[in-house]
Amino acid sequence: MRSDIFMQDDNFLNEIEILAVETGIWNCEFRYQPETGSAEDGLSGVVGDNFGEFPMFVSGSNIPNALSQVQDIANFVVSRFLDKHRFIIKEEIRARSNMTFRSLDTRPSRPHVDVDKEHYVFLYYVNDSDGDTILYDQISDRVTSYTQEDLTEFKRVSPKAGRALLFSGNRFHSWNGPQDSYARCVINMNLSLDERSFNGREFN
Amino acid sequence: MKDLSMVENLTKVEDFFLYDDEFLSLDAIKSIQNEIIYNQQFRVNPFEWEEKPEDPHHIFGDMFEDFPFLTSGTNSIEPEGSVFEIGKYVLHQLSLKNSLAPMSIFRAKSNLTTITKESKPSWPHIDGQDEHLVFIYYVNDSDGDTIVYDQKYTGSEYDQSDLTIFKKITPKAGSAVIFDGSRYHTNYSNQKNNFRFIINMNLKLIGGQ
Repeated sequence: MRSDIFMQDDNFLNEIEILAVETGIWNCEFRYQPETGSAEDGLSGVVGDNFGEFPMFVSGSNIPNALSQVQDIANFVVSRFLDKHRFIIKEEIRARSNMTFRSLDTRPSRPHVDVDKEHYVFLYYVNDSDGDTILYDQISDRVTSYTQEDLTEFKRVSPKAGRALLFSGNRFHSWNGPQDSYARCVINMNLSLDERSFNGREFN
Repeated sequence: MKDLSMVENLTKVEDFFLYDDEFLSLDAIKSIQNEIIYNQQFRVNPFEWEEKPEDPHHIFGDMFEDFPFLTSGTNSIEPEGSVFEIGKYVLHQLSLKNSLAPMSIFRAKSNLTTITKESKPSWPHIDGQDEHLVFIYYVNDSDGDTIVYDQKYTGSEYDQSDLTIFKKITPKAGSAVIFDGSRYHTNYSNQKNNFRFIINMNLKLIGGQ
C-alpha cells in the first residue's frame, strides 16, 4: 500500500447535493443479498461469535465501471471528494450501494477487507442513521491470520448524510446494523489512486 | 388488463373473503420464494408522509403509524414483468382449487417490509375506490399480521375509533387471501422477522357483476 490513509469529510457536498444523492439512491433498485459474503479465513475476513452476519440489499455491481443506476451517482460523489482533497483516481474497482435494515442483532458484522488487491475504500453515507463503521488497527497482509480476540478498534464513525471516508483498503473494517433508524444506506467504492496523489503529502 | 381463464364460482365482489394455505406444493412455495426474495429488484418507497393527505382512502389517527417499505413491480393498470407472472400463476392455482370465476389483474407488485420500532399498524386504507378485490400472497413465514376491517369505503371519512376487525391474517409462506377491496385494511410491520415479503395484486371480475 502506497500510503496508509484515513480521511473523513462532512463538508464536500452542499445540502442540495446531499439531498439529490439520497433521492437518487432511493430510486435505485436493490437486490437481496442474504449474507455479506465476507471471507472466513482470518486473512481477509474474521469470524467469531463477537460478530453477526447480516442480510443486506445491494444496488450496483462488483464489476468495474459496470452500467448501473448507482454508478453515475457514485462517480459524482467520489469525484467531488477526490477533487477537493487533490486525489487522482487510477482505477475504479467496484461501486455499489449497500442498504441494511433495522436488526435485532447488536453485534457488528464480520471484520473484512473488500477485495484481494491493493486499494482504498471510499464510503459515503447516504442518509442519517445509526450503525457505526468500525475500522480496526489490524491490517490484512494475506499472510497473518487473525482471530476475533486479536482485533482492536482504530476508529469508529457514525453515519451522517453527506459524510464520506477514504481509508486504506487493507485495514479490517466492519459495521453495525441500525438499531434506531429504519435503514442505513452507503455508497461503497473500491479504487486505486494515482501516484501523483501522494507527491509530497503526509497522511499519517 | 391481463385476462385469466378460470372456472366460475366467485360471482360477486361484495363481502367476498377467501383464505387458503393449502393450494400450492412445497416445491412451488420454495420456487416462488426463490424468485421473489432473491431475483427481484426492490425500490424504497417514501419514508414517511410528512403531511398526511386529506384522503378518505386512508384513516389516520394515533392508533396507527405509517412506516416505509420496499416495492418490486408497479402500480400500472397494465402490469407486466416477473412479479406479475408469478402472481398470475399463484392466482391461477388458487382459482383452480377454489373454483373462482375469471378475474383480471390490474395491479401486481411485491411489497417488502423490514423490522420497525413501531408496533402500531400502518394507516388503514383502500387501494382504490372502484369495485375490486385485494389479493395478498404471503411469500415467507413472518410476523406482521394483515388486518381487514368490517368498515367499507363509503366516500366519507371514518374515525379510527369506528374501526372493528373483520379478519386478522398472520403471514405464512404459501398462503393467500382475497377480499372485497372496499374493506379498509392495513398491516403490522414485522418486529421479529427481518423481512416480510408479499405479493399484492388488485383484481376485477371479468365482465363485472
